[in-house]
Amino acid sequence: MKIRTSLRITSTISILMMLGSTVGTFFAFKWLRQASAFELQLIDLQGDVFERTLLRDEYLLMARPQSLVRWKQKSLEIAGHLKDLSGRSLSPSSALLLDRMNQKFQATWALLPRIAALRSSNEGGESGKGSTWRIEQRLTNQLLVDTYLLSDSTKLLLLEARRDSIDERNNLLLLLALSTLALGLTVTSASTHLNHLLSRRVAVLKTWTYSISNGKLDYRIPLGGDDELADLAREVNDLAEKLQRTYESLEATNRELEAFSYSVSHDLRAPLRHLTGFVELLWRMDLSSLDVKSQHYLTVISDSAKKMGCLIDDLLSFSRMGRGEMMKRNVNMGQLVHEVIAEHAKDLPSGRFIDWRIGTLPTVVGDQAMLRLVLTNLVSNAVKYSRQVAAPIIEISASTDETHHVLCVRDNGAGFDMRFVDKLFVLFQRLHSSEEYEGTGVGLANVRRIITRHGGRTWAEGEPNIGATFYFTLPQGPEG
Amino acid sequence: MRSMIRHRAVARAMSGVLVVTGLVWLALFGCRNKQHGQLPTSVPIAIACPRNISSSLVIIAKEQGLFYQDGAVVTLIPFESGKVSLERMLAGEADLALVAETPLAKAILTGGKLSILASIHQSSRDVAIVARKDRGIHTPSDLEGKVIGFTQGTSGHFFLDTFCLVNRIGLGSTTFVDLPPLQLRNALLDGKVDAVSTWDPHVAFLMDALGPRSVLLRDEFIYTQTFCLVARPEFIRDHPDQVKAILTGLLSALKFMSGSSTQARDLVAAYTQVEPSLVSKAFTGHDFDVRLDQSLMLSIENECRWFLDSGAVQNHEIPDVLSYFYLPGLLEVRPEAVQVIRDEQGGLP
Amino acid sequence: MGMDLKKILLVEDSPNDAELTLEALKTARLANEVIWLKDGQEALDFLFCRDAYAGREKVNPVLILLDIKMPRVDGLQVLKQIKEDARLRSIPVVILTSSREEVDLLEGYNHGVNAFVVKPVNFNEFLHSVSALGTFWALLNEAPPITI
Repeated sequence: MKIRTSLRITSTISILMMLGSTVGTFFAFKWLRQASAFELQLIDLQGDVFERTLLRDEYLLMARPQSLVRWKQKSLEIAGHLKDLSGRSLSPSSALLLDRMNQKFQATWALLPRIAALRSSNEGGESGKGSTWRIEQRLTNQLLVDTYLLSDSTKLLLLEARRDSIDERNNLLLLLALSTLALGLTVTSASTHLNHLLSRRVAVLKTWTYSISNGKLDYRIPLGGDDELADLAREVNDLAEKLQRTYESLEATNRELEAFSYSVSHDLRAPLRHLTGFVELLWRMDLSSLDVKSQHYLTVISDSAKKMGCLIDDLLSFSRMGRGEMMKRNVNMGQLVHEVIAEHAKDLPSGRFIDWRIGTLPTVVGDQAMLRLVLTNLVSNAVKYSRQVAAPIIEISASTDETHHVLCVRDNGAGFDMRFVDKLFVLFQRLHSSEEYEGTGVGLANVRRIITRHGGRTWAEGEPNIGATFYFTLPQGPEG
Repeated sequence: MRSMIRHRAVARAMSGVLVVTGLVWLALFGCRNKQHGQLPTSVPIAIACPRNISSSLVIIAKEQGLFYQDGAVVTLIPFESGKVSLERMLAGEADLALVAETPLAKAILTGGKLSILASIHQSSRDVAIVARKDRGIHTPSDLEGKVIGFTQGTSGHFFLDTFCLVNRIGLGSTTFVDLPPLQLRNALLDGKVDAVSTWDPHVAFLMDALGPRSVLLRDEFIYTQTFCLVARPEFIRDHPDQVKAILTGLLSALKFMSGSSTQARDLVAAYTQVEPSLVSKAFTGHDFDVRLDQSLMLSIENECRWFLDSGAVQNHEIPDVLSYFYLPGLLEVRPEAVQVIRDEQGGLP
Repeated sequence: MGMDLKKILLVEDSPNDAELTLEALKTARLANEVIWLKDGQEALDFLFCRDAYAGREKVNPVLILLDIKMPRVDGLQVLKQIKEDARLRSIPVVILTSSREEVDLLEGYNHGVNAFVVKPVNFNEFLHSVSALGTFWALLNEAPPITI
């Protein structure tokens, strides 16, 4: 079943249990209070009965009328208590006890005044051990018997009330303990089950992720169950399927591209070579008979063929830049820059002095050959377009943002119009004619391709006749 | 998936273990219980039990087999009155007897060999005077000069004495006739006497039999009868476990009375040989309980004094009544019911 | 001494390419006789003295210039068979081809090609290359002993 469903069930059960235990606790507490109140009432009653007995003794011993009055008052109090107690619902044994208490109370309530009456009738005159005295004796004995019964019953009833109180209290505690236990068990079992489920399933997902990211695109998660994670697994398997297919089609495309390039290499080149070759042979022949126009035509044909050769070579190299395997290792850009500049210095016409301002350049992770090409292109561009400048300054510096190294090559040469900045890095697009500056327009396209493959960005800023700055970023890696 | 199944299997195994443990424990415990209660032989017990409403608890316990739970085999020997029951027990014809506190007091006063196990019934309404209206008796004072039947040495006797005393009925002018309880009944019905002092079921029976011709003279405030279960000291000495068993049986009978009152009533009616409806009438307002309290001791002492003062018993001293109470039985079965005033050893403080 | 016997075998399917190569060789003043065969199968037949060439002169060429892209049997196949044969193995083979695809480079060297030259589009450069080749193989390099 869905994880969501089982969680809902668990929380519903928990809520119900909590409600149940709350209600139960409420009632248990109520009953406990009732039992305690009953107990207290009986304690009061017991106290009153005791005091009344003392008052009785006071009267019987000292014969004070006030004692009798107070005894009667106390009796009324007790009668009130008994009436209150009769209104409660009691267990059968408690009811019997209360009944006995009522009976005995009635008896004592009748007897003492009767005895008092006999006493007062005795007051006048000598009777000694007359019948009145004997009646008094008999009734007093009965009074004592009944008083014992009353107070003993009260004691027993109190005992029962105490027991009930304790029972209610124990019930409450038991209820609380069971509720806690039940709730705890529910929550524990639910979370254990969930933990089991999740850790297992999540582990499976982890395995999948690991496999896929390591190129094992045909790994499929073994499915099981109908909960959310199983659904996810199915989705994930679909994803893997799509990935695999995409990857396969990409591979196919790549292979097509390779075949295409291969074909271009051989098949395009051959006629081109023939073209240039035969034109050249033609040139070596005696051309004095040809007029100027024909010679001109020949020149154009020859130059065009040469140009086409360059274009094809550049195109092939551009294509190779995209396809070749990158061999990533630590590349010291500073050192690389110096090597590139040294190479360039060989090709510079003597007398040309360039002010090279090289900043601290970082060590990055990348393909050394490709990065060399980037620097070569940028540096040769900078040199080429500074040809007209008297004091060329070429600056190469680096900085960092949060995630990448940012390198830039700045010159104070011909610059370019920012309106056409989008064309700069596009293959074969140029912002200057071939008469002004030679080149096919492949250099910057290669730079962009290489940098993109390294996970960076390229962009440029320029102003005509002021200069141009070319930026590229490379990701910061573990090397720092 | 697999570990989920494992999980369930583990849970099942655990609950299985718990169930098995529980069963084993119950079995052992149950066995132990049985072992405890196992007696080598069954013990025959004879209880002298008068056909009174007051005997109800014993009647019910015996008829419902509540005495049988510990190997006791109880027989009830019916008698007309508690007084006779006690006499027979003292003569050795029974192990136990049920008797009101009045004959009991006399026996104690005269040195009878007995122990009081518990009181099983108490009432201020059980004993009353049934009088014939057609003999001109309407109020207590009308008894003066009449012929009143009673049974010597019983609670009926004591009640009559108290009643006459309190109502100032002259003993000289009135005729008192001593008859056993059943003969009292017939005497009133035949008109040989004008009134009788007796107890239930006879009171209810006579009221029913005489109908409008009868008048009930009752005073709930002047007398309380306490009906007791007494035993021969030898019995207690020889079978202390049986004493506890009997007391436990009586407590069970008490529960039964409140639970199945109709059935209880029928059982009592059968034993006391009156109609169930009369038993119901008699049941109201009676206090059935198993206890030993101070009121009993006081009552016994009072009535001992009465016996001596009236001259019925001579040349005796009121003994240590507490020593006639057998406390260990009830203390073990229902300690809070023992409210007799005593010191730690059970003697007089 | 016997320079006329030193023949160069050119295996090239395109007549244009062949003409250019021959012109280049002439310009570089390599006087050797050049045998031009148009496809790989013919080249193999010639070298192994098979079929039509069963009765050829029993002197092997001292240098083989081999193009790669040819119909039916391509240059690499020819190379493979040459280098697997005990008698032909010692003949220096120079692959003369249009492009330097890595796969071709790898295959060539794996099969034991002696040199791999890419034909530049620029004819002057081509002349230089051929001249260098000739200087090397015909003059500088010690040719293996002439075998049959």
